[in-house]
Amino acid sequence: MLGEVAKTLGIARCHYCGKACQMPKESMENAAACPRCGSALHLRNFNSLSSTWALLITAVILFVPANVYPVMSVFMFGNGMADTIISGIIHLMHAGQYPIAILVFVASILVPLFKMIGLGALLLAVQFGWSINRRQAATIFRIINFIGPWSMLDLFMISILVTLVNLGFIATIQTGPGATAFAGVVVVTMLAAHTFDQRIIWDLVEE
Amino acid sequence: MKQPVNLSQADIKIKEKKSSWIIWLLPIIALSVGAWLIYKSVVEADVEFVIYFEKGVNIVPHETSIIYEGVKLGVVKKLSLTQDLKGVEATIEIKKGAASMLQEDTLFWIVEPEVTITRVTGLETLLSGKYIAIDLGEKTSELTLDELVKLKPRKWRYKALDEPPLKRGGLHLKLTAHDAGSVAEGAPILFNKIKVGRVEKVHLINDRAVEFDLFIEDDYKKLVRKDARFWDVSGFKFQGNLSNIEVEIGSLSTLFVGGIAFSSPMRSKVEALAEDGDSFELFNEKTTAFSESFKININFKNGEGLNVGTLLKYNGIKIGEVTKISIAKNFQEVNVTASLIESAIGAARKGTKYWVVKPKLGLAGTKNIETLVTGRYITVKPVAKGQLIHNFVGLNEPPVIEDLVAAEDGLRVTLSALSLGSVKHGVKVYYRKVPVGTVIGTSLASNAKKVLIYLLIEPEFAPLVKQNTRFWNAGGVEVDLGLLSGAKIRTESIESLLGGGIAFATPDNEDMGAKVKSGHIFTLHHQLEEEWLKWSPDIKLGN
Repeated sequence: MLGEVAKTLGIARCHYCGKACQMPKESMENAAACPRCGSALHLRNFNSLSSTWALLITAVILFVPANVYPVMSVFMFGNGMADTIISGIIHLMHAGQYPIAILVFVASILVPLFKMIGLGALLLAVQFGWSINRRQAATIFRIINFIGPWSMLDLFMISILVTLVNLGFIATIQTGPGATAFAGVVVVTMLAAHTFDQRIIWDLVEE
Repeated sequence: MKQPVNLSQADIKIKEKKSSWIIWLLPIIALSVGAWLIYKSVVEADVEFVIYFEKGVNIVPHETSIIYEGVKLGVVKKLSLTQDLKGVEATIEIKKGAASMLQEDTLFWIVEPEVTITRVTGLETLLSGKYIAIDLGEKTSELTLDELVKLKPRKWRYKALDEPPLKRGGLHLKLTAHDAGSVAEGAPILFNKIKVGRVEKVHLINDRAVEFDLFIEDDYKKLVRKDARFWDVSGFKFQGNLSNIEVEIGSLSTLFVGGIAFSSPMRSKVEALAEDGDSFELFNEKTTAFSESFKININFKNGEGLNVGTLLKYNGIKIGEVTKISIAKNFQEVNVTASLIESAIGAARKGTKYWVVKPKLGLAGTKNIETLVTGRYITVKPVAKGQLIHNFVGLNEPPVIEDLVAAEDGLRVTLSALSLGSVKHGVKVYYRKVPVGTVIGTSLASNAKKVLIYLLIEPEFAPLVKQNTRFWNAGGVEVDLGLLSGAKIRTESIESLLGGGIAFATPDNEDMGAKVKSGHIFTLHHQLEEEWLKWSPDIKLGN
């Protein structure tokens, strides 16, 4: 039963209003539109794979500066102290702030990594026609979609600190180039998850 | 299983095909930005070098910064003890752009907070901690910006200075003095009471001299000429005598850390400006600073009551000061070195007489009583013309009559007597018991047969002395005892009773004789004749 998908029946569901429609012949597939709301209909999103690949690669590239460059500089009495994500976590651990250290580690390191690896694995599986457990793959994808925004936690913290701690000479917090790159990673992975048409998962060969 | 429902057909909308390659621009952009960042970080990689510190300096790795003119150039990366455990080596990371500062003569030193009464520096380091200051060496700082930028770093190991280097620009002078007085490092240099610089350093040169390093701000360096005089304005100066008390305070800060003032002599013709490294003498006070203009040596037979600082006065005004007293090599004289103030240079003409004014508490009169309070002083009888000379012979007594001829008006007559009796310098000359003159000198006649007494009759009373005037010794008490006449006690005045005196009388008009001129010699009678007292000539007084 699982092998029988809407695609094989030529049925596509409108992304916006949810109406299920009978798709035209293959040659006209790219010109299909929802008869109710008029938005484009695809059996599988156009260019989904290649876009997702592009975005994922961008995210991987950005992940390097995001971790190498400092995300935040704390200036106390004119003396600056720049922290990368990792060094910030280490500082928090040294300060005994384990819960916060873990939170930052999860939000800033684990989540983006998980997203990239997960998406990458899905893409690879699709690309090379690996046989996988499609239900697990769907679960992974849902998790990726769900946790996507939570990586922003770090950035929220930084932006709040930057605006709150602005006491001039006594204490100032500034963002570093790493924060920009990190925001890029978060945004790009979210976009990648968005462009990934999860219906592709159903095209995969079940284990 | 239900049959699939009939679904409505999708509409067909022909639209332009979206190109899918645009999305691939993203990774390319990300890659190129990343590559550029990597390139930049390689090219602009921080430059590492080592500074050696001799003493523990409280440097904190990752916190202590290298700062040039307030701009942070780098930070201490690592700190380690040297192998001999005597110093500290700090590994510094400096921005690549600043690496051209690493030249042979570049200077490093630690900036710490310094709070003194005159100034507060490095206060920011109280909160931010110490920092390492960097400055270009002398040669490098003369280069233009373009030349500097092109320089490659040349040295990777430095030794930090113990203290900040002397400021460049401005003027660096040296002052020497016997002792540091109360001038401390940081004391201000004042010109017309405006601060124009400060004392950078005070140090001993040898066991008897102290040297001050002065720094004059660039803006003010034209004020210092080659002939500038520097004097100490530290603390407060208390000068006083019975008539006025003078308290002089340079400024509040000089009260605590001292201060040095300077200026050039008023009528100085020296135009040349002082140059870096010029050395000057530090004087104790302004007056000595400027009285240097003329030094004289006076040889006194007796130096009693003379000190360094004893004043030279003329008509009550200070014209100089004794700067040195020493015994002559033959032990016969005292050499007094005095410096005359600039305006009193005329007192160094050949022929000028110097003598010591001391208090006189005598029966014949009290004189110079002010010297009891102010101390003895040296006074001078200047001459109008003459060559300036440096060596003089001092008199221990005021000069006698011959010297005073030109100086004072009045009639001068000389009395010759067999003995001086109680007559001495300063005793009064009476006419009808009115004091009309004084004895201004006594001496033995050149043939030693007689004593000569020089009188000065005040101009007003000069006409009283005629050729036939009789002088007698009126000192003491004259007692006539006669069986018939009873006793007669005669004295001119209490003063003459105690201190001696000379009286004179002039015969009645027809017998008085002609007027006398200065220098006339009379005989001093030992006793008066009764008849003289009855004379009562009619003489018109002068003036």
